[in-house]
Amino acid sequence: MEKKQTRIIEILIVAANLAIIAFVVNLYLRKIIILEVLLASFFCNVLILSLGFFIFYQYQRLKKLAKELGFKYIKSSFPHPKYEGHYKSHWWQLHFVSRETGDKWGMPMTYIKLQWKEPKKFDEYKLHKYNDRKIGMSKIVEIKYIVRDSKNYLLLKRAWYTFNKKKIYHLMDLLLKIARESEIK
Amino acid sequence: MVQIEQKPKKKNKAAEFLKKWGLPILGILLLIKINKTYFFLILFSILTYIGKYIRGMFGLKLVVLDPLHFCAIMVAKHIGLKEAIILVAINTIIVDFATQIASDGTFANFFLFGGSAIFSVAILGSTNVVLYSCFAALLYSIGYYIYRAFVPTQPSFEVVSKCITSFVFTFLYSSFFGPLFGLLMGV
Repeated sequence: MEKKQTRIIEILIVAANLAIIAFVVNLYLRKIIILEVLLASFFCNVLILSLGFFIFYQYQRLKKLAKELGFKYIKSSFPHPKYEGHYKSHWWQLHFVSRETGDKWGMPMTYIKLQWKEPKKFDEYKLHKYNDRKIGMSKIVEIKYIVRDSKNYLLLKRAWYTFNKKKIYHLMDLLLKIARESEIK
Repeated sequence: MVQIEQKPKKKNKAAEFLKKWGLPILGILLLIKINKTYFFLILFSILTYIGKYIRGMFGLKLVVLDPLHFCAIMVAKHIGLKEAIILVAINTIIVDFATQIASDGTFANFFLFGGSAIFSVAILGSTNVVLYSCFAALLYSIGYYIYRAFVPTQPSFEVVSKCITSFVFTFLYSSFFGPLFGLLMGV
């Protein structure tokens, strides 16, 4: 069913673009627009179409991953979706981010958050040990503890989007291990 | 008495189009004529911002999508070299400091974008738009590679992909938008 839906969306997008191209060519043949405008419209069309397909396929991969993990969307707004769910009796959140400002601007990142309702204490020094380290297949950018009004979480930032279920589980296990090691009781 | 039947006039769609859009087009052309420099500096800054925003938003870190280099070449050719430097300064130094992402690369970009655009227009300005744009893009890519690969050493994959996409997009922008902007800016 999903494959059928995907195919229908693809066909609709291509058909809409062909209609736009036909319209612009028609305008050119009727001498309403000049060749320079025709060329610019063609390029804009291809650029927007490519970007549209890029977003669409990325969305499909993210949706598939959420389904595989059994997590629920809590923020459906693309391009930075968030999922929440439970793994090994812990409350998790996955966030796919690409910031427009800051030190790592434009870098796609996977945020893995191990969350609690009650406040916790962690040894900052032990958490910082993992910053900028390569563990297995993953490059960990940063691990830090964040306190919010409604929840607290241990955040693991990994460079690039991770669509692989096994890698996500590996990172979650790693974060659980780090949480156990660095928690101050 | 003979009545002369009047045939219904066939609507001229081109005339209708001109009637509807003629005034806005005339307005834009007038604005270009009155203060071409400000108009294009603002327009190109907006286009550059959109390109950077798309790149940052969708995580296209390895793709240089913003048309700043192409815009700088267009301004250097049709408005002036000083204005091209101002455009590049606004969209590199000022924007990067305002968004707190300024680094050594900001200044490198300023010199490479500005320098390659000006040098290329000065040498090949009388030839085809695609030719001098590609030459400027090539100069920028070589300069960026030398700067990134030897001055502050960075992973070569990122540097090479940025060099290639920067060249490809400047070539595409100049091929498809160059003639149109050439006409608009030459008004």
